[in-house]
Amino acid sequence: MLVLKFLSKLIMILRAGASPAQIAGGLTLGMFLGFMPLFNLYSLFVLLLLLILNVNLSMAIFGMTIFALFSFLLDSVFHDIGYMLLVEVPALHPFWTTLYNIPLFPFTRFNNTVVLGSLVTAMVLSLPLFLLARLGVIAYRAKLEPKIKQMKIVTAIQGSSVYQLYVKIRSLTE
Amino acid sequence: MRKSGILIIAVVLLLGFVIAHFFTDAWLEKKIEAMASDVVGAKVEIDRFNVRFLSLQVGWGRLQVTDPDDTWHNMFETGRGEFNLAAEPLFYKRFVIEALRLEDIRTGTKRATDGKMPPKKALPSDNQPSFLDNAAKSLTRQLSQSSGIDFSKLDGKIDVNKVVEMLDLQTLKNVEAFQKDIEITSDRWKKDVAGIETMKVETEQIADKVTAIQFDQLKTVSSITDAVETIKRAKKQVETIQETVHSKKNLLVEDGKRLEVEIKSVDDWIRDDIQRAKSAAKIPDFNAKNIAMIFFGPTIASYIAPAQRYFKMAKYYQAKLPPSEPKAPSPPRFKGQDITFPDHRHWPKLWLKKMVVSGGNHDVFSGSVADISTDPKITGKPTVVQLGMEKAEGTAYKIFAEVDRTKARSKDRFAWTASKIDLKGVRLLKSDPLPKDLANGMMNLNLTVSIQDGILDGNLAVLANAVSFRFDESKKDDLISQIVHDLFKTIEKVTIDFKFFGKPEDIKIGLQSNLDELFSARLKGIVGEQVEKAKAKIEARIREKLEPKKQELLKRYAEKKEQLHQEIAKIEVKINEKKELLEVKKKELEARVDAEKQKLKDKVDEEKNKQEDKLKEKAKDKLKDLFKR
Repeated sequence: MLVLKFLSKLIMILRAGASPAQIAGGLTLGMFLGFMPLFNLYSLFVLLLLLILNVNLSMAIFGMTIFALFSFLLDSVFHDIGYMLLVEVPALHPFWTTLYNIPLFPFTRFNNTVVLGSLVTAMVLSLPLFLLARLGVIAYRAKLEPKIKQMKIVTAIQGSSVYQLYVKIRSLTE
Repeated sequence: MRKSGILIIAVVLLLGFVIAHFFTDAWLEKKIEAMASDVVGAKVEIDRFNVRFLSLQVGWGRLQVTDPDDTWHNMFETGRGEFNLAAEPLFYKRFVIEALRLEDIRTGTKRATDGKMPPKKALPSDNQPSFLDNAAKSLTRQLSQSSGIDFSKLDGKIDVNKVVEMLDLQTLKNVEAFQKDIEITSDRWKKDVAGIETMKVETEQIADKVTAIQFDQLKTVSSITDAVETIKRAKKQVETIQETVHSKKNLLVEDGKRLEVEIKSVDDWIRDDIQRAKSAAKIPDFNAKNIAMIFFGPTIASYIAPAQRYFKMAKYYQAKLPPSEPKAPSPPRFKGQDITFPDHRHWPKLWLKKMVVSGGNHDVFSGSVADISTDPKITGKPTVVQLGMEKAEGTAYKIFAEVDRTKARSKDRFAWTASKIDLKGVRLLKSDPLPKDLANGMMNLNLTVSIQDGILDGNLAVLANAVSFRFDESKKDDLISQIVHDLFKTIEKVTIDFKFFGKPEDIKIGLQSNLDELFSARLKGIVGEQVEKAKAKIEARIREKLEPKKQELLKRYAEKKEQLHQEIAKIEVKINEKKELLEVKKKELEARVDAEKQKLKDKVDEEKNKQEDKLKEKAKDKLKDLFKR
């Protein structure tokens, strides 16, 4: 039931009135939140961006959940990237020292290897992810959506009593 | 841009302020109480805690810290307390408290409720004795050692025989062991000499073999050469034997040296036994240095344990402070690693710049603590504690402590000054006929201690004025008691200068007092003769008992040594004789070989000349025939 709800939500997002750029933006900001450890100034900043910018919030939550799951696997990679940037590149030391001595910056925890590693990874992936997600939504709406609608399994699911019951309950709770 | 988003942020911010305004104080109060209780090991309670975010001011109405040893009483409690957090460091995640005021501090106040905490796991404590444990142990041991003075022995009536019998004379044991050593060494020498004897026989045999060579019988060169080789071999054998004898002799000489050194120790053993006998008889040495130690040593030692308890308590709470940086940067992988960079602001994580305290129950005290920080290396300032207390009756105490951890080499300084301490009723030591306590007196004292590089350097200066001593009621009328009573009656002023220096396990102490000269001069004059007599008696008795043993030992050693040297000398002479004989034989043979060689050469030359002459004649004849034709 949970998977069904999840898929239905995703399909609804893709089908809904939000523009492809809004959906892609939500997914990208969700990736930032998912990758980075919570409770630092970066996360708060991304959260504020999410609230202020007109991006799709549902997609952001979806993105955060998915990328948070990935982050458990990628933490060691984030640590390595962060360690390399913070310690192994002497040319960057003056830059980090300057940041370290700027007010409020210590709260970003940029000097933590995992925080910096995940932030840099998210920044590097943000543009390709945004572009790919936007193209994906456009492609879905143009080509995939009509086909999915006509698929027997979809019509069967939509016609089933369980689905009808679920739709009724959902409409009641909304 | 999403308008609703901005609205959500505004609502969240508003909610945050409301929650902070109504709930932060209570939440923080509980949090701090829990943390502090954990540190103290008993309940810590804060009343009317409040935080003002705009002015960054934190304050409370009352603070109670339960005494963990008596949970129905507070260790101390304070009235109003407040401090301001510096604003700028907060932007850098640093907490700098400019000034903390703690007023109306009272100690030992009664609690309305029990301040006991639920039992928890005992703190991990290292079983290794600490720096102060070692120092205290060493000081106590040295100070207590000097308590054994028996004034009854000063009349010179000492049963010398009993003392000597009672004493386990070490010289006797050492002499016995030394004699055994001489016997063992002597046996080894005998074996060595027996070995040398065998070599002597061997040498004789070699010499006989060489003597048996008949030089007249040697007709051919090869027989002569063989004989030379035989002699060379024999000579080599003798040389080897000579070397062996030499090395054995060296070993004997080394043994002799060792025994010589040990022989010289005999006098030291006797001296040690005499000293031990004097100690056992409790005959004191009345020199200027140890009177004060005998008199005040145990009293000072009795103050060390309580002082050590306070130092331990301070160390316990200090250990609970969070370290400024993690000891080893190895957190779990998923949390990452915090890399630190040079901090241009020079703020540690927590820095209490100044704390002003005042209070007291019946006595008034006030003081300040400056520069407590999680990283003094950053602040560059040592922690300085200055406290002063004045009691109602006029006694005043001042404490100064400087804990300097600003550099790699730590340096601590402590000073404690007390003035106008009433000495009435202060107990001294129980030993008769010395006074049991002080009837009157006023004392000032000044203790300074510094610890640097693991070395303790301290000084305790005491000045007591207007003193009068009190003796036990059951006064003895003997001479010594009378002398001591008369002496202490004249004393009005006592000065003590107690110094200690060194590593904790090996502290050197020195105690000087005006009593030194006074006491020793008076007592020495009166009882000195008896004491000297008793000492002489003991020394004579021990020497009488040990001198024959020493002489016997020396005689035995000399005999063995002489006997052996003679043996070795004999063998050496014999071997040298044989060697010389071989040398002569060898030379004779070599001369013979040379002569034979010369003979042979002459013969060859003669034959060669004859052949040449024959050839010449033949050539002449041929030439003559040629001209004739």
